[in-house]
Amino acid sequence: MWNPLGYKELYRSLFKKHLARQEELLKKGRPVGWFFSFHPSELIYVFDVVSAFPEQYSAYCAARGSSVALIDEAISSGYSHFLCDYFKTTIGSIISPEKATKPLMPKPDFIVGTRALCVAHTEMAEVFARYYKIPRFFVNYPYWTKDSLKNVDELTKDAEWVDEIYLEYVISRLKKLVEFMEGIAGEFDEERMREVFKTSEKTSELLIEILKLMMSKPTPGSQREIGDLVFIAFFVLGSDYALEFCEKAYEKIKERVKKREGVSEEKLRFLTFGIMPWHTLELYQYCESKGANFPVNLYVNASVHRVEAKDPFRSMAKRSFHFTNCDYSFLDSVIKTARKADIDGALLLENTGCRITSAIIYPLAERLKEDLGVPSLILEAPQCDPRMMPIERAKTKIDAFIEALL
Amino acid sequence: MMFAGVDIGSNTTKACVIDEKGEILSYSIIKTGAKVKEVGKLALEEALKKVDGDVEYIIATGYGRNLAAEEFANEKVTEITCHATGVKKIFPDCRTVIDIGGQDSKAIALDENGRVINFAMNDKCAAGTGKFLEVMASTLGLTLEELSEAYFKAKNRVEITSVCTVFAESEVISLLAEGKDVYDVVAGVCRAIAKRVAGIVKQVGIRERVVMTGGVAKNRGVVKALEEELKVSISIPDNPQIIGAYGAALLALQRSLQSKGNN
Repeated sequence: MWNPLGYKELYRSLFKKHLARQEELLKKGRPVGWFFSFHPSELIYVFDVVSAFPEQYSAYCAARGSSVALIDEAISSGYSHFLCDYFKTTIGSIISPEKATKPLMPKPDFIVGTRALCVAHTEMAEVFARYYKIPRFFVNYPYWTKDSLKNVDELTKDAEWVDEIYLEYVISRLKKLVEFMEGIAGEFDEERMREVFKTSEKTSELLIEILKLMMSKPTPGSQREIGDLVFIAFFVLGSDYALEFCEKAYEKIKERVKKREGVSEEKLRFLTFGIMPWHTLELYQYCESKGANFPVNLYVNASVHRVEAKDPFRSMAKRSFHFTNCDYSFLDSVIKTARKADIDGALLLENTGCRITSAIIYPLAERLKEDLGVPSLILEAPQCDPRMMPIERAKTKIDAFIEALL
Repeated sequence: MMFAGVDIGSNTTKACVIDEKGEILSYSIIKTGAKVKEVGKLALEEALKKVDGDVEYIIATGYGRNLAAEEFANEKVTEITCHATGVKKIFPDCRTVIDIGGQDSKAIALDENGRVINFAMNDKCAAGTGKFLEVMASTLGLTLEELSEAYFKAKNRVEITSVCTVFAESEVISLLAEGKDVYDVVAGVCRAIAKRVAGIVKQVGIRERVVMTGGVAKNRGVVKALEEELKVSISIPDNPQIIGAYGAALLALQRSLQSKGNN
């Protein structure tokens, strides 16, 4: 197992604790909510609800090999193969749970959709809510422009200036979300919110430090391990077990950096972006084993943001500050990160099912070439359907890209 | 002293043996078939039958390169680098290589030193490859050689609109059933490949001299259609099908000299 940072054991312990929490709350009869990325995960712990995440569950099915059968189920039911893999996999698991990887997501009592990076979240939430005949709520984040948000740090999402009108709008939506959850899960406890946000703040600080340390030379860790940080940052931020994970993970990576231990004998440093192909994470390992390491994964960075416990609502609103949810002038911040990481090339992943992340791939490649003289390899890599990504061809392209750079 | 390159492609396997000056001494082309593990060795043995002496260094390329490197080759290199190396030796002023093989279409951009600076490949579809041409020739009842010449006999070229090879085959059958002239349909087939490949070439940029390699470069109709589509003249090496193997042999020569230099 490719586990240079030793995070696999930590993840196992984290998932165990997460599932134990779910089980305990289910026994108590607490309501179940389905959530999407960019939702304010802290509210899950404030309201003590059971949480499930269609995107994360679909990624899990892809990693365990059941997503292909589930996607086929969705297509057989009439959904187009052009739709998002996460959507098809989730729908497939609803239609044919016997084909899905266990444990299944518990049936929802409510759904919270978001409109940040992914415009399909609202549609997915609508479809699932109609299927289960349950209430749903949308958090509608604005599409940020350089007039509304200035000088965004790609890694921390801290903007030097944010237009208060937009921020007030998002906060008003988040307050409505709290009202919506109160109606389902009981009274909102402000003291509990402060506690959860203190945990969340500490966790986010550690996540940011881990991502900064990943940019060290040589690159200390593998994307096979770093990729799973998305789960922590998007879905369980605010939990004690996420904090516990990050404290240990930070110590491990700090130690490796101190000893100058690299994931492999580093010959090249790549930036990567795009939804990760969860069925074929060996792709990253393949590059790393050839000395091409990944100090920056913009997809993972997108899931992490700096939490400020002193202002929880503002902090929740900031979750949507990300370069794919902004106009392309925000690629400046990506270039800064790429320059800091001293990259030699980029591995960019397109995805038929995700037009939003795919549309930015070529502009990103162009900017990397223009500003840093760095070439990019663009691969088609759907997140849950390995049939759409012939792996041997992908490897040939990677080999040729590396040959050209060495 | 001899050096060899073996290109194990999806359709055919090519071996090329060169001397220390980079001159081709012999080569072989055999069908790949199912025995990928053995076929590289067989092609090399076939090429070596025509020359005397020992091979100093072997580089494998193509889809079977990993197996070949485990079995008999000293090293493996991708076909992109090998085609670039082979073409550079024959046409030092080449800046764009178009390689159309059995299942692949590639465009490779080179700098003035012959280094690969960009490349693009067809993704998961065989349209615009040698396989597409083979299927069409069979549907039209022509040999590949006949298909090559038929392009020039067309009077009213038809358009093949389907991208998928299987649907294009149905379309060809429908066109024949409508009474379209077979030469006009052939022209449509060649233009369909040319359009598909041109899309890949444009991704890396068209810079002259443009050189075409791979088995499909032997098809004059496709080459002409591609020249018309890209609006450039395309140079073809004497034996375009073995350029990948030739490039691999040239790299074998380089690596052998390097390793001696290091020692």
